[in-house]
Amino acid sequence: MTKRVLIVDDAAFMRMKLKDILEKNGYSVVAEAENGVDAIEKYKAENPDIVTMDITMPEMDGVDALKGIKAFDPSAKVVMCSAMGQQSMVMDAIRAGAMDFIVKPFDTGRVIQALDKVTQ
Amino acid sequence: MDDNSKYLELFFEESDEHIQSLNDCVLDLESDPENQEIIDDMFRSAHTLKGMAGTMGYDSLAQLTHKMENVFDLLKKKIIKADSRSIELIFSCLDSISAIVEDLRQGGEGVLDVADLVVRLNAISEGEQDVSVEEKTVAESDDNFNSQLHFIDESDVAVIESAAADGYQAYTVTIKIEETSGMKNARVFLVMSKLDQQGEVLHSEPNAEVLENEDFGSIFKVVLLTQADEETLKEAALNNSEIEDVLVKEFDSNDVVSEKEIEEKVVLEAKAVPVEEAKKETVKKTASKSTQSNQTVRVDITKLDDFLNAVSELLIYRTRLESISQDNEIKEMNEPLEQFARITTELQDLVLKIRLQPVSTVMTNFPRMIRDLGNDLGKKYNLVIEGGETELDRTVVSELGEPLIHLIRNAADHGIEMPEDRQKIGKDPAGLIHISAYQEGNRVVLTVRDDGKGLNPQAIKESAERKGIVTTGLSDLELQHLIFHPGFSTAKEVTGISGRGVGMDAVQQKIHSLGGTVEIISAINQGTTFKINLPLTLSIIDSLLIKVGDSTFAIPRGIIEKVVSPGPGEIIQTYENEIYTTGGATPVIRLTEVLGMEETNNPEPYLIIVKLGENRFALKIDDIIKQQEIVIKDLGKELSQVNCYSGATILGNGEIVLILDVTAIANESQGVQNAIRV
Repeated sequence: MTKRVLIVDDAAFMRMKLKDILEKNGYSVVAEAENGVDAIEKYKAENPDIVTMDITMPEMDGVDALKGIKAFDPSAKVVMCSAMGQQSMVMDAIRAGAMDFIVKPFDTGRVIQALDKVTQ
Repeated sequence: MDDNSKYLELFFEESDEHIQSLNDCVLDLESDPENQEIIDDMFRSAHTLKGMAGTMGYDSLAQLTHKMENVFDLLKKKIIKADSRSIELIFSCLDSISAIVEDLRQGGEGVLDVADLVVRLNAISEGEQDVSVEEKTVAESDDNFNSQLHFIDESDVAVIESAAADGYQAYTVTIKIEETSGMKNARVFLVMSKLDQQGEVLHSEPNAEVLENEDFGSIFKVVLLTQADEETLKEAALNNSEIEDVLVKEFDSNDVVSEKEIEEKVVLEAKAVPVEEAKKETVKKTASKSTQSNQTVRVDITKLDDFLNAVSELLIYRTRLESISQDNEIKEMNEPLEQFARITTELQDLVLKIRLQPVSTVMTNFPRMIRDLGNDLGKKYNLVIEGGETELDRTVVSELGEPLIHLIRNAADHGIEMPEDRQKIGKDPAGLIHISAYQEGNRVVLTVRDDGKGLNPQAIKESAERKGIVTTGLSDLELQHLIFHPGFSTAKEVTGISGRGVGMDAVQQKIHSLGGTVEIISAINQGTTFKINLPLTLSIIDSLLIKVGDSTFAIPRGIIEKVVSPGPGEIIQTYENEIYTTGGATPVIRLTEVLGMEETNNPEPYLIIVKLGENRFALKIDDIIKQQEIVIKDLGKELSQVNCYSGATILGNGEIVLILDVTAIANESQGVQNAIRV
């Protein structure tokens, strides 16, 4: 069964790139969100199998969005997307229940490996 | 990617320090190969360099330092010895490292082919490394993907034993992260948090701090107390992305190869991290060496220059205020003005002191240079440096390196004889090269002395004549000074070590531009001494204000020997010139003539006797005004062609006064044989 993904990133370019990677590897992107608030709403509406969550975003950052989603659905599977140097944020996210993280710039193999591991 | 450009300055500064310290250490090690302390220092420096290079993304540098660190590690563990082969190689590596850093400083990419060195380093570390070493190397090396631990707390062992009764089993989980994985520390955290769900993590290797700072290779180990089975654990760890392999084994206290040495290394690594971190802060404690625990601040030199400039301006206005108060006889201003004067003087002293730097900063390379020269030329040297702590303005210090290196290379190449020749004439086979520095009033004297063959006036004379330099009537001393003549060289053949005779001229010019003088004292078979006399600072000098015609000029007091008011008959007219006869014949320089002014025909002139090297000149002036500290201001590019002035200053009354460059004036008026210049 095709896994349904919600992509959260404030940069349209990053969303496009990630969407491209995912769809070429058998995932279906059901929704995109450009900030944390948007992400929680889209999650509630679409109930995706997996969420890729950027950390630095306006309105509400990725860690808070993760917490919001987890509060709504404790079994939500969220993979953080982080730039180098955001170690502490990533660790916060892991404490808050993130399943894994991928480091930007995205490497197709690594993104797919991470998502496959989380959804298996 | 992070923008690292703002760390560049610090990176260079610290790299220089570490490269220097490595150079020093290796030199020490050469004479004392067993000294563990030196090796420890080397290891630390290499490690820090590696960390810095890695952070900045300089791959060649990181690679090279990493391999060097491996070799140092083996030295540390006494697995290999510091023999001539390894020391030679380390020196080559240091040269490459310097070259890379220099290239980066020039704005290059810092990419250098280090493959050859890496192969040689590997040959040393692998050739000598036996299997036991492989196991000993701490997580730094990737060859220890096994369940061996280096250390575990006794209390942990006790916990493990007692928990066994409740059905808990301890496992050693060894995890290898993909080599190229980013943010390994977060990766570790992720794996740890997954393992935490399975049981209790008792111990990690390397320790948490090292893991958190990402100061490890790609392997880490944890001891986990759990009720879960091996498979579950393995899955929990493997079930994360970017994990290459996981090894789970029941904990066995026999696997703990507890060796003090290794512990020490882990501690050391943990310590090295804060040092790396500290480079990101502008304010840095140099407390690393217990001998000096002063707090220091690193400041951009341009800020100091600005500071000095501001203080100089203040000085000018102080003098102005003083003269205004005097002219208008404002008594109430006297007391505050005195205070103002005191404070500005203090400020001035302070800023000059801040700018002082020990001359040893340019001498640090010398031992290495001498060593290399000795190897290249097959000569033996004994280098003695004295008074390295003598301080000079840092502009002077930074400019000094080049001429000093030149003099030392000359001494080593031309001065000192071959060991067998030295023995024949009863000298120590090792030639002495003695560098000393000391302060003399507000000047600093630097000498470079060798006990070699000395400057042979006859050889110089012959050589000079061959080159078409007229030598008629020159004294031995003057002949010796011919080596400063442009294009002169006494070397029978041009060697790569000391140049083609253009050098000594350049040395003299450089010293001259720093407001200094250089003298030669040399005797055949006894050696040669170059005596360099330099001003302490370049910006504020004590001067004598004089009048020529209606114009005021300043003369640096440092070169004035005395001022006389010649009596009748003391000045003799020759065909074209005048000579002051008291105390030997001193040529008189008519400043009006040199400066292109109208002759004043003053019946009662003053003569200022100046001493330039060994020569004396008498400057004819009309009046003496007073002695005063003046601030030297550049004349600016527009006037750089004007020879007779070294700068200008502003007096209290706002008048601009030119500072006479007496050396240039002497040359101009006498066409002095280039023999002695200031």
